[in-house]
Amino acid sequence: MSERWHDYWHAFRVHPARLAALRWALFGLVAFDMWAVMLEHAARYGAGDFNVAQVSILDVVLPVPTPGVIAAGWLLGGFFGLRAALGIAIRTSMIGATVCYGGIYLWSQADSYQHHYLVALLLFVACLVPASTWRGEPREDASQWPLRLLYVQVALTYFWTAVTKVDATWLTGDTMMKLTSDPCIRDWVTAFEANRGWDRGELYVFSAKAVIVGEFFAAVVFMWRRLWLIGLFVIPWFHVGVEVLGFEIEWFSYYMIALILIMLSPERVWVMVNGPLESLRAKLARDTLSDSSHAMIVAGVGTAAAVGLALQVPFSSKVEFAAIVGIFALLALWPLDGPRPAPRYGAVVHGIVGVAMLLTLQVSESAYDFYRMWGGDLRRRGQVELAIEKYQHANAIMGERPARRYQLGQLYERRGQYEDALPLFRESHAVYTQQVSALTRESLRAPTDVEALHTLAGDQLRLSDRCRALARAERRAGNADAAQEAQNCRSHSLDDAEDTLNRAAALKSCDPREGNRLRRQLRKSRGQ
Amino acid sequence: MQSPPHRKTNVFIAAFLAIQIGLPLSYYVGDDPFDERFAWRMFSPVRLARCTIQAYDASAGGLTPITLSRELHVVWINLLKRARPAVIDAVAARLCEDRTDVRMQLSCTPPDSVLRGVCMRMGDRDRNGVDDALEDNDGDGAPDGYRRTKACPEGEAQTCFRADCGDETARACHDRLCRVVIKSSDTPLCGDDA
Repeated sequence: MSERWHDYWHAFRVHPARLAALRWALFGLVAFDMWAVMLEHAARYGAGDFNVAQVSILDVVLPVPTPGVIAAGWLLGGFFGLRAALGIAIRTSMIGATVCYGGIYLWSQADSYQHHYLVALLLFVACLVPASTWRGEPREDASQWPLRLLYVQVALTYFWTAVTKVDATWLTGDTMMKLTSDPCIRDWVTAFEANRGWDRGELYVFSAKAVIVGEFFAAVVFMWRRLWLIGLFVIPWFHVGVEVLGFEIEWFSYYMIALILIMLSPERVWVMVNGPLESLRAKLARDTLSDSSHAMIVAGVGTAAAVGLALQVPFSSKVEFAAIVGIFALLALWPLDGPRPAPRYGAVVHGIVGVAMLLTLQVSESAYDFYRMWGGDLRRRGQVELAIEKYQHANAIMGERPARRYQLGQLYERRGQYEDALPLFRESHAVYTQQVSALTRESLRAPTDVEALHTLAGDQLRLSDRCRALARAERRAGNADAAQEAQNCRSHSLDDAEDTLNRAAALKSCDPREGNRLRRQLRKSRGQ
Repeated sequence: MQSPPHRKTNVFIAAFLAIQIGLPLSYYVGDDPFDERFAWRMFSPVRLARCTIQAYDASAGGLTPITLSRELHVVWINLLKRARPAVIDAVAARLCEDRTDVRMQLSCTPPDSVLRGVCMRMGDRDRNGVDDALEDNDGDGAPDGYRRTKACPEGEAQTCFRADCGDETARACHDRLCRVVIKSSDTPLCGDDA
């Protein structure tokens, strides 16, 4: 028994190339996940000075989180995560990413995604792997038990997920049917069952049973190396299915598909990959600076780049954030106790991480969403002054694009600041007029695209709201002509929206939900 | 013979595994079906349970509804609707900070309600104020909801109904089986009475 245990945990070896891929995928995904997806949810943390931690002791020892601290934590976590993925100060970076990701998860039940708990655990286990092993220079006789633990953790997750489903309720297929809310998928299932002469709902019953068998099988695969190859061709399909069915679980399927492909693929794949990887490692080994003054200049440039880029994040606490980034960049790059490995590469990576962070914030609009949601929550809870401040931040981030001008104008109106509301309604009207024109041109190019027509109708309804608010504000300011013009804009926008919805309804679509929602909204707007 | 570092490592591994087996197991041996944290219950039927929540200020005698969305972020209201015990207690404590008597009515459909015909919802097409699932319009001796549940084999609606409800009426059985009252508005949540 003892010998088997020893062999299972301590004789387990993973190819260095597989390990490198695992590091890139896990920590790289975590970095972009924190920047692009998680950041926008930061506003819910500590809202109304209220929090419940995942573990009750943390409610006693930690203060209530604030949106600012959580947002900074995820920004910083992404910085550490991408640095770890790219091989800079691996141990420090991994611990930093894990503390930010896992710490925030444990700090509040506001995050109720179980897959965040799994990712936090995997990050924790990854921190137990020695940095030399991650760098591809493991000691010949060194145990790689944390890597075995990664496999076992994934196996345990699949096992318990399967156990959950060994339940009379799940086996009726009803849960799967309810989870499949997309009418297009439901239609497809009904047609599939009819073609095969199956009873209604039989495919859900079959799928429910198949999922249980598949998840138990996945658990065994991750525990037993001989089954890896079979698992490689079977298990990813569960996660592909989850994406096809449209379950809302953020990036979890992508995490799992990446992990499965890397963890279960055959050794010879990694032997092949290892060639180019070795030459990359050799190149990095030649990146040395024996002259300490040169090394200091390079470290200074890398740190300055990281700090300069960190200062560009669109957050009010960017100076504090940049200071922390600067400290960790300097610690990683400065030749404190002798020359650093690959100093030029390290400096370049800090630049890459900074640029990647800014680009991700820009493309995902997560910083805008963060302030938008924060403002919305404050508005709902009656904290108008703070809501105004957050909406101003949100608008500043979006520039000329649609943002929260209309909502901000309404808040000014609530406070009787009519002279502040009017220019915002004018701007919002102008932005949405442009937006509707652009979408109209697009819909003419693709006249059968129902989704595009719904988007256009949605923005036409938004424009009508803005025209109504503008008419009200102009009338109040004594501009009768402008008020009348805005009133006309409102009627035209509602007519246009109705026309667009009629065009969409004339096209075949299996999912009537969005069209119905917009029609209800149109009726409501007409009644106002 | 193991070297001391391996011994420590083995203890760590064993402890880690014990936690990862024990935590989910504690869900199954515990008595709170709604708190699924740390149990890896992805896509569980519990997640689809429907709960309704209403908080009341009873400080002035009657029950005045509290608009929770004015007090809390929507994420906490959603967690209340998932009947998370720690969240219920914390929300109650928060509401009691500036009120002397707070009540809460929180009830959920049990996760296994899908197995019971009396818990089905078919709508009230004949507009008599009773869901059609509780009525025996097809004359098979069981509420029509039993035609809807896949847990009851065809032709055995009456047997399934009796197994669930005994001699109870469909309405009484529905009230007993299809709503779990987690918190009742009869119980004060503030102070020593809580």
